[in-house]
Amino acid sequence: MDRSRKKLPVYILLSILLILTGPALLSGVGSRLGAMFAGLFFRDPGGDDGYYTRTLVLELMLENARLREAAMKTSLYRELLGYVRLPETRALVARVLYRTEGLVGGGFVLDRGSRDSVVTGSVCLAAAGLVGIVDQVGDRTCTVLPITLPGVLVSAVCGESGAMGLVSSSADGRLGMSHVDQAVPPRVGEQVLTSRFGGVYPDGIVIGTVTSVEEGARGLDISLRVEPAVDFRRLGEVLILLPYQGAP
Amino acid sequence: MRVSFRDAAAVALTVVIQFLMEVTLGRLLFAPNLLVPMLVFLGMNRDSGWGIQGAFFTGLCLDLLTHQPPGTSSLSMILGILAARSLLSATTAAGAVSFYSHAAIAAVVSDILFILLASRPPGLFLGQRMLLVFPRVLVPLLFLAVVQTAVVHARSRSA
Repeated sequence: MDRSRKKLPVYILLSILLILTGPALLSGVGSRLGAMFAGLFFRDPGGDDGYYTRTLVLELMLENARLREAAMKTSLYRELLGYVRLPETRALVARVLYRTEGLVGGGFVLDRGSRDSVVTGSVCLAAAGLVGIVDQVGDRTCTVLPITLPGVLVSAVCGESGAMGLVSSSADGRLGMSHVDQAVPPRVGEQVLTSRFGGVYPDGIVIGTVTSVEEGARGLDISLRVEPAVDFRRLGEVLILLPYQGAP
Repeated sequence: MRVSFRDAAAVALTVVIQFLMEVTLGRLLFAPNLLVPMLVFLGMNRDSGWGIQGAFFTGLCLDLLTHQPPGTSSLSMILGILAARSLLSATTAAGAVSFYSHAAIAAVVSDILFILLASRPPGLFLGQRMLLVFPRVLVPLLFLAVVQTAVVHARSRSA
């Protein structure tokens, strides 16, 4: 009886302490245990790092959505302008291995071949503009005929005036555009672009710039001198446009 | 405090029954108070520690089970049993009468204290509703008294 009585203040004090701190203790311990239990089934959100990552992912998603919208608009504008039409075209980066037959008359040998799906007639271009067309395809290499090679004809159109003609190179290696209609004389400095009407090149690839306008040999048309956009002497890497395999 | 298994099992069973009745019938309104009389009985007949340590731990269990602030039932039961002992310490009542009076006073004080301590905001249940404490306490004691009387009467007749 006496021993129990002695413990009475202790238990009363304990009870009071529990009343005062019990709910907070229970909620804290319960929350911690609940979080640990939930951690068994769900991934840890990761604290501050996780919050930062989630924020970053959200920002990237928004940026991605903006870029998709911009790409869609760009595609629509190109379609409306008829500027470049490269539907479903795949591109392949190639390195120039060496040149054949000199700078003007020769071709470029690239390190891509039939193993890389390169076929004869593939269009080759550089960052500055049109390079030429693939002529021979080996297993691992291919040869590109540059537009500066006499005999290579490119259907072209002037960027501002819309004058159409054929771009070819003379024996001395100077690029010119012939059979241009006199009704729409181009101006010096205009860009010359490829035209899809030739059936070989896609629209809108830069060939060069008009440097002079001359009357044609028969007096019925005009000829243009064109400065190529590509520096063929410093050509290192090019892009090969592979034709769309699903095309009819 | 020495605790026998039978007493501990009886108290545990009482806690469970009290918990089940309180969650089904409603605490302080309809559920009869069984735990305090049990603790009083054990405190008087087994070990006085049942009225202190027993009240503390059973009250804590009951509070955790019924989602009450921990320690509320413990404190109210300890103080209720202590009040009953203090009030009746000078009396000459003995045996069953002493138990019933102890249990009734302890349960009433305990329930009133519990209402005061556990109600949020404080004093929410103060008023006429507190009168429900008395039937909650007295009905099980009356029932027990009737049963005990019947048993004693039957035994005396058979003897």
